[in-house]
Order: sequence, then C-alpha cells, then structure tokens
Amino acid sequence: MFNHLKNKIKRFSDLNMNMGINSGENVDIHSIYTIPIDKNLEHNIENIQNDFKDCSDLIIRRINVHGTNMAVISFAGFYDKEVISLSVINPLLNADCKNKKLTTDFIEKNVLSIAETINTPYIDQIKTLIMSGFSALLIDGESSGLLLALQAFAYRSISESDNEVVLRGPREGFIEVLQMNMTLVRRRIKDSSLKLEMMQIGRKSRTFICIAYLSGVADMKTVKEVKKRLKNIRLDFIFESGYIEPYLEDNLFSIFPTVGITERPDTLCGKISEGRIGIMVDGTPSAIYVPYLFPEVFENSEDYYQRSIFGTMLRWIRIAALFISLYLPALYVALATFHQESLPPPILNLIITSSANTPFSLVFEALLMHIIYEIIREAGIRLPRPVGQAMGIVGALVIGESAVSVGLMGVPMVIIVALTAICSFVVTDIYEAVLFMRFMFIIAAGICGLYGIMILTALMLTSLCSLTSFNIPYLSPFAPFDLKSQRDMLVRVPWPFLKKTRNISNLAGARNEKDNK
Amino acid sequence: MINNKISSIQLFIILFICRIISFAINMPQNKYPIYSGNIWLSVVIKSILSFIVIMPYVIIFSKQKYIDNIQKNNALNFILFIYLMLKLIITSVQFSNLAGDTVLPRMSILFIIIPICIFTLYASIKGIETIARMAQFLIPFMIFGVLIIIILSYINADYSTLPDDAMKFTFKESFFGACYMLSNNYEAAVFLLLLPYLKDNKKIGIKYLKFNIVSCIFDISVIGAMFVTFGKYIVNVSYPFFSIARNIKITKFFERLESIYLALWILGTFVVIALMYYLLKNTLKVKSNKIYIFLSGVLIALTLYFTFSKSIFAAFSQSLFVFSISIIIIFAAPFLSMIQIHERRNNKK
Repeated sequence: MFNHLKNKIKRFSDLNMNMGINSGENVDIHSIYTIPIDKNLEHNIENIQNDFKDCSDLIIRRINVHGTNMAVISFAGFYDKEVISLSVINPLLNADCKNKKLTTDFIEKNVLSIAETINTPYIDQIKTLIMSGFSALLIDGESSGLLLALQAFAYRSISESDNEVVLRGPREGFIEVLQMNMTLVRRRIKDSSLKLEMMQIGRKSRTFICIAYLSGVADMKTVKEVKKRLKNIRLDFIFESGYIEPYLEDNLFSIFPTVGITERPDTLCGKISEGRIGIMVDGTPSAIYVPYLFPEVFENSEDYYQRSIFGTMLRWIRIAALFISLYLPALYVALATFHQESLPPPILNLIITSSANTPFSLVFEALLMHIIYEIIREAGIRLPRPVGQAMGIVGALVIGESAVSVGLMGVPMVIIVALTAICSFVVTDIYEAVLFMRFMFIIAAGICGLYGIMILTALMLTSLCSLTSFNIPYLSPFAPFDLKSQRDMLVRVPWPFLKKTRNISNLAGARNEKDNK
Repeated sequence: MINNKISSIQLFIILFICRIISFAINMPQNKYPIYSGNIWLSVVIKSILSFIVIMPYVIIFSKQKYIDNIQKNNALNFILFIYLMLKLIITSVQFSNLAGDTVLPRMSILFIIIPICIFTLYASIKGIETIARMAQFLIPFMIFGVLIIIILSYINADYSTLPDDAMKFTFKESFFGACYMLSNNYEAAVFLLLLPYLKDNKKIGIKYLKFNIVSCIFDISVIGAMFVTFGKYIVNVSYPFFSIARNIKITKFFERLESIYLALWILGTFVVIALMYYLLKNTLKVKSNKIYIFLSGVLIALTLYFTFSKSIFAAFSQSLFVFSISIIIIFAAPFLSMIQIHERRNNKK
C-alpha cells in the first residue's frame, strides 16, 4: 500500500520535473524576459491595456514633451501622487531639451530625479514589475522603457513581534513588505558575503521571494538544492510562506516541522550566520529557514543576549516543559489506571477521592478536558483580542470551576491540564506536533498504561531519528552525537568559547552525509 | 554498495544496548552459576572468549573487500538466519513474559506482543541509520538509569546476606558458565552483519577491546548488585534486575525505581527487535520490505505460542539445541569465514 503511494508521489514529482519552462517555471528575477517593446507607443499601451482589460486600477498618464508622446503607467495605490508629479511629470514637462532627441537613456540620465530606475527592452518585464509597485515610462519611438522605483504603498510599520517576545533584545519584527525585511537583515549583517537573491514564484501571483545566505559559510550544495526546490513549485498563487514550506521539507507526512520559522530579524540573522538559508516571502511577516533541526525548539534568540548560565538554565527548563507537556496527562492516566502501586499513598488517596465522584474514566476525562481547552484556546485566538481574553477567563474560571464543583471533573485532572497547557507554550515551535502526540499518548496510556506510552515513545523516536532536513539528521547533534556542538545545545557556553562552533555544516550528521556522498 | 552507513561508535552503542537487554533479561533465567563465586570468573572468561571470536572478523574487516564475500556466503547466511530467528523469538518471549508479569498483569498478552512486533517493523524499514541514531539517542538515558539502579542497590543492600562462597570458584564451572553466557549473547553475529555498514575501519579491534572491557565492568556491576541485594536467594527471584529496582528505598526520594527500569528496558528491547528484523532481512538477501510481513507473522505466532506455554519455552530456551547452535555459530562462523576467504585468495592466485 505504501509502495503504491510512494510510486504515485514519485510519478507526480517526475511529471512536475518534466513540465519545463513553458508550464510557467519559476524564474530568477533577472532571467530572460522575451517580448520586446514596440517602437510605437500606442501599440505598447494597447498591449498592456489588453492584458489588463477590466482592471480599473491601471492608470495610464499620457504626456507630450516637446512633441514626443510619452506615457507613465502604474497601478493605483502603489505610488505617491506627489512624488510622481515632482520626480517624473514635472521634470519631464519642464525639461530643457528642445533640440535634443528624447531617448530613454537621455531622460534617465538628464531629466528624472529618481534614485532607482531599470532600463528594460522587454514589455513583459514592465507588465510584471508595475504589479509590484514600479511605475513605467514608455516613450514613443523608443524600443526600451524605464521602470521607476516609486513604490509608496501603505504598509504596516515595523513593530515588535507578537509571537516571539523577548525581555532583552531588539524590538523589531518582520513586516509584510519584502524589501523592508531585506533591509532589516542587511542592516544586521553589513558584509558582502550576505547574499540576498530574488526569485519569483507562483504562476499567477508572481510572488517575490528572497533567499538569504552567507557565502563561504552556508553549504552551497544546500543553497543550490533550496533554489531547485523553489523553482519546481507548481502553484498558481503564493500568499504566505506556508505555501512553500512543504516543498522545502524532506518528509511531507511527518508531524514534526523540518522548516524553521521566525518573525524576528535578529533570529534569522543568527540562523544565517550559522550557515542556514533564510527565505523571505513577499506579503509574509515572518521568514523561514532551512535546515531546521529538532534541538532548535529549545533555543531562543534571548539565550544569546543574556549570561550564558541563565541561557543554559532556560534551555533545560524548556526541555522539562516539553516532557511535561508531552507526557504528564498520559502518565497520570497510566499510573492512576494501571500502576496504582507506583504512586505514593497520599497521592493515590487524592486520586481515588476525586475520581470516585466523577462519572467518566480518567482517559475520557483527560481527552475531554484537553479538547475543551483547545476549543477555548482556538476561540480565544480567533476572537477580537478583548473578547478573546474574556473568553479565556470564562473558560478557565467558570467552566473549570463549575465542572469540578458539579463533579464532572476531578481536581487533579484540572491541575494537570492547566500545567500541561502552560508548558506547551514554552516550546511553541512544535505546538501542533506536541498536541497531536499528547492525545496519542493519552489514548495509549488508557489502553496499555506505561507500556503503551513507552511503545509510542519508541515509535515517535523512530520517526524523529529517520527525519532529515536537507540531508542533516533531524536529531543532530544528539543523534548522531556531536560533542563540540553541545557547547550551544545542552549548555550555552559564553561567547568567547562559542563562536567557532556555530556552523551547521560542521555537525556530525552533516559531515556523515557528506562522507556518504 | 551500501548507502546506509553507521559510525563505529554507533556500532558499539548498538552492541552495548544488546548487552544491557540480554543481560538484564536473560540473567535470571539461565543456568549461570550465579550462586557461587564462579560467576565473577565466568564474566571475565566470557569477555576474553568474546574478543577471541570477534578477532577474525576484525582481521577480515581490515581488508574491507572480503566482507562482501562473507555476505555472499549462502550457507553462512542460512545459519545466521536460523540463529538470529531463535534469538529474536527468545528475546520477544522473555520480553512478553516480563511485561505480562510486571507491567500489565491484567492485560491480554496480545496487547503486549502485537504492538512491539508491528511497530519495530517501522524502525526496520527505516534502515540501520535510523536504528543506530535511535540507539545513540537512548544510550545516555539507559546508562544513566542502569547506573542509578546499580549504585542505589549497593547503598540499599544488606551485606549480611552475602553467600559465604561469593569469592570461591572453580575453573571448570566458570568456563562452562562463560560459554553459557556467551551463548546468550548475539554480539558476534550482530557485529559480523553490521561490519559492512561501517564507515571507518580504523582500529576496530582496539575499539572492540575497549568496548569489551567496559561491558565486562558493566556485567560485573550488575552481578554485584544482584548479589548484594538478594544474596543466596537470587535463584528464587524471577526478574532480579527488575526486583532490584523495585526494592530500592533510600529516604523518600529514591524509591520505586522500577518505572525507570521498565521505560529503559522497553525502549532498549524495541531497538534490539528492530535490529534483529533488519539483520534477518539482510541474511535473506531480499530487497522488498514485504519479507517483514513473513518475519513478523512467524515472530508473533511463535511468541504467542511460547508465551502461553511457559514450560515449553523454558525447556526450549535452555535446551541443548539452542545452546549448541549458538556455540557453533559463535565459534565456528568466524573461522569458517577466514577459511573461505583464504581459499578464495588461493584460487585467485
């Protein structure tokens, strides 16, 4: 059955690989555009109008400069009217060039007062870039046009990330505008080795993405592989980085993520400095990065900003939190249902007293409590913020308290679910995976007690050990074990001892993969 | 050409997990001269014998190309298949018995056998790299857990119950005990079958020697813990290592440590059974994963049969047949391999 599925997937990917450029292959931004600009301005305008038929936001401003017809083409809302008047139309209308031929080159160099322009001979490049906020200047009798970087559309200002809050560290977070995000990265790594390569993906959305890496630090084979995978994306629309994530994962069906995500530029820069490859997608206020390994769920950018001993301590607390959020409810169900002899008598008495008054079995009680909690959480996120907070209070206090006082739930179970919920927010990167596994563990504990939990743990470990992210074992540097990398894993040593170990290509697993090749 | 490769450290970790599992489970159920001082000498002799039987493989492996010849030997593969199948059945039955008696006494044995036999297949299908990584991930926890139990058992022990003949031994009985211990270990076969997956062949003999010394110390520590905990009553205890963990009670903090033991032991057995499946498939030289359906079917059927017929299993696992085939494989296989390679070299000349 699995082989059949595997063959189907393989056939599908082969088909995709063979589709070639005609099917709309994603291309580098500077790769070849094919359709030339006509010397007749009216033909070019007609061409654009035909393509953007029924697009009411297309604006074509015709002007005549000393007898030469010109047109400024752009989309409404992408530019500042005042800027375009002052920088383009005014200089053109007032230009002192009565006896000179108005060529594209002349206007670019002598008339316009714009910092960034692109002189292009291709009409399809003009069509593409005016949709990204450029304005185009076409001149009658000229076989090239000017793309003017006058983007001035409204966007959210740079603010602190809501999901990755730190006590110490920069307060800047990514926003939806790719160019701004690239600036945030460049501002932190002022070195020519930082490469920010642009691509366009999505056959219809033509979304810009930026691949960021440090040449000389990142493994170029991985960079090449990232580009290859991105080029092979056959989607019409890319609205968020989540669309491309599956194409960067080695295993599509795993519950554990093998692509990292961050809303913080300092975190992304830290990852890039370790040899990872960052990918920023236009319209997404976060960046993704690869390779992403499991032990990274215990890391936080703040670890590196404070004293190493506290950084280390926080990592161990996160490890403990992960174990609690994964195992605590299941262990409670297993011990109270199957292995009462392992519990100290006072705790056993407490459990017996509380569960004697409840109508449900412990496993059902645990599942029910977690489902209710997840519903409250989901509702709290989707509702407007003030209402969401009220919903949380209603859920936690009213429902929880009432359920216990009526005798539907036991007090220990409420405490355990609350503790589990708190711990699950400590390692948010794998919240969904932990949630899924927690439910599985509770069910396994309800069926086979500790034995069920351990067998499921073994199964989960097998899955984790078999995963890779761009050929680097997912559990690296734990399995395969790399002693040197533990300086920034189980412990976080002070910076003077740390700097030489911070490269993902040097991990034991990565080295092994290279050796195998 | 093998794509899945493991490092030498991963190989020895796998061997050590095999050692922990076989020693912690097998120990009480076999005819070791545990009640006398012979046991100490037996462990030392067993370690020496292990080293001797492994050396031919090490010599062959140092000339990497000959390893493939051993892999192509159908007769050897057939014997190894029978041997590993026997060991797999014995391991899984002992596992089921212990789990049934201690973890889930009120649960149907089917709930114990079927999950482990099925889920280990997943690990086997994922390949030796996955199994090796899993072993590497688990080993610190296993060593820590076992060490805690051993150390606490020494602290918790009542030294007045130590048998009088704890330090008296006879060479003949010790040698026999060593052979018996050796027959219960499948390290040699695992070592032989995993050698082609090794990335590096540098100083593998020295590494094995170090591993053997560490394992010997581990064995002695386990035996010592059993001695000091149970004294001469050890022969009457069904699962000594489990009972050691259960009996520990030092202040109110260190007590009821059998959960740690069980957790580690279930995870360790998972690795061992997955490894056995993988090696069995290799001895059959079948590429398709469908062979696992046959292997797991045979394993589940026989494990169920032996679990329900404990007396038959006891007779079978301690029978002369199992002992003989184990000893033949352990002692004869390396030398047969050497002879085979020697002949091939002569033929080429």
